[in-house]
Order: sequence, then structure tokens, then C-alpha cells
Amino acid sequence: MKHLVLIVFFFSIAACSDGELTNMHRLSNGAKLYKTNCANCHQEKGEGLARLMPPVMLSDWLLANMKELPCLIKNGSKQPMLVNGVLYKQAMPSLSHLSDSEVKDICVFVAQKFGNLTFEQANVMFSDSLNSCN
Amino acid sequence: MNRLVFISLLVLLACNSEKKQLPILGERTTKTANVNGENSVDTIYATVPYFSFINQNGDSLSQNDVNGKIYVADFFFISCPTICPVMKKEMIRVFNAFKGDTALMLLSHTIDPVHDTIALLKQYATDLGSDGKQWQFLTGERERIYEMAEMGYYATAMPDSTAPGGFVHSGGFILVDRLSRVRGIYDGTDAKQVDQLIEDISVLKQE
Repeated sequence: MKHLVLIVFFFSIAACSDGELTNMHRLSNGAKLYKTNCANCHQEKGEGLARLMPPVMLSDWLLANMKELPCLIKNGSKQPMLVNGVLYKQAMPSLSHLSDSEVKDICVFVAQKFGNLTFEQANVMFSDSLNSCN
Repeated sequence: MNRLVFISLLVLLACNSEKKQLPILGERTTKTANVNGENSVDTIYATVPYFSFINQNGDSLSQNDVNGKIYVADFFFISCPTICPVMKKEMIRVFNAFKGDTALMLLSHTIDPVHDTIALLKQYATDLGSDGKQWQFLTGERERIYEMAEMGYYATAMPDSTAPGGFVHSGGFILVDRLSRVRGIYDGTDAKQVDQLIEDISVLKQE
């Protein structure tokens, strides 16, 4: 029985192309990075914190401004932000300790988890979006 | 006779096990007094030293205002990128569990009084959903706040340029009883410990 499970497992791994495996790895890396860098304020499920920290789940700002996400994470922002009719005034800290590829992994994770995008769509959207950050 | 003593003991034990007692933290000393020719020994428990700070409305809040009340103290700063939002999420739970209960107060002290002005504290309090009375946000002279954290509440609070946000502090919620004695310290980032705190507040209210 154990062998059978192992064989099935092996074949299911083998059935994934290299690209798919990389995608899975990047998504789980994005999820991990979100948990360490974002979830303290925006919460693990993305619901935000009272009227202090905006939600990323069901967030009209995110859906309308998805492309700005990488630069926002990289540079932070001191501008008040209107999300779902609530004006959030806390500054977003700059997460400048993250590498470009880490920022991208977070964005791809957020976009597919909270932004209704597929991995491929998110991947395309954020492929060169960090280049435009000031 | 022996049987009677045994039964009394059993009843006593049963009563004790029903009522949970919280420990009294801190050093204790004893005081011997001579009353009518007989020595009596009193235990003196550690209490939170006298304090006087300014709240989010610019009003003073001193120990006199919490006398006879149970309160929970914690330390934070507004621009804190790490544990503070988690602590505040948990403090909201404590606040909601005892909303409107005049026997309980929550005192959140900023450890960054230079940046966290009274106006910013007021905004922060409102955005968190605090009523500004039961849950107050305190500021004051920086050294006094750090002193209170360490001497009064067994917590850590100090500037540290290597820490994210520039300060280190412990994420403890400190439970203080009506007689200003610390009765428990809970990790304010751990939902299970905050559940315990909520339970223990109810225990303390029975005293």
C-alpha cells in the first residue's frame, strides 16, 4: 500500500511540468512572505484591522489599482487611502528589505487570492511592474 | 469528631476548587506588628507605582482614576510595523468582551511620545473603535513611560535603532487588580493567552 501511494505521488509530481512546479513554489513563497510581512496589519485572511488598516480581501482599491501594488509594497505610502468608502490614514511602511522577486511573489499571491486573477494573469501583470517604481 | 473535621476539610477544598484564585505577582515583604502584646505578620504585596499620564483627549489620567478598578495595560507605538497591530486586534477582543463595564479599563501606553502626539492618539483610538473612556491611550514623558513599563508592569520598552520602527517592547497585556497589584501577564499576540486573560478578568471581578 505504502509503495502504491509513493508511486502515485511520484507520477503526480512527474505530471507537473517544470513551469507548474515553479508556479506552485512561487505561490507558496508569496503566501509565506504575505504572512510574515503583511498579515500583522492586513491580517491573514486579508480583512484588515478596524478602521486602522485597510482590508485587501474584497477591497475596491485593490481591484481598481492592482498594478500599483508592487511599488506600494516597495516604497510604502503616507497618503491616506480610500478603501470601500473608509479613509485609512495610517502610513504604509516601505518594505525595502524585500528583493524584487519577493515583492513580485507577494503581489502574485495577493492578486490571485484577493484579486480574482489567475496565476498566469497575475504573473503577466507584475512581470515588469517594479521597473516603473521611483 | 475526626469525621467532622474531615468533612469540613472536604467542604473547604470543594469551595476552593470552585473559585479560581489568580496569583499576585511581584516581590512581597512582611510586616510584623505588635497588637495587644501579640505579634501579627502582614504580607505586603508589590503594587504598581503611582503614575500620571495624559490621555488621547489631552486630559490627565492618574492612578487615582483607576483606583478601585481592574485594568489591562499594554505598550505600543502608532508606526509600529510588527506586533502592535496584532496586539491591537487582540485588545479589541478584550474591549468588546467587557464593553460598557465600568469596573474595567484598558490603558494603552505609547512608547514613542515624540511622534505619537495627542491628536494622533485620538485618531488612532477612534479608528480602532475605542470609546475613549473605557479604553484610553496614554502618553507622557518618555522616561516615565519606560519606567512604568519596567518597574510597574515587568515589561520592556525602549528605543532601539536596529528594531523595525525604532523601538523594542514586549507584547504583554498586564492585568492589574482593584488594589493596583499585577495579577497576570499575557502575550498580547497570542489569541489563546488573550482568551485566558478574558477568563481571568471575570475571575478577578468576583473578588
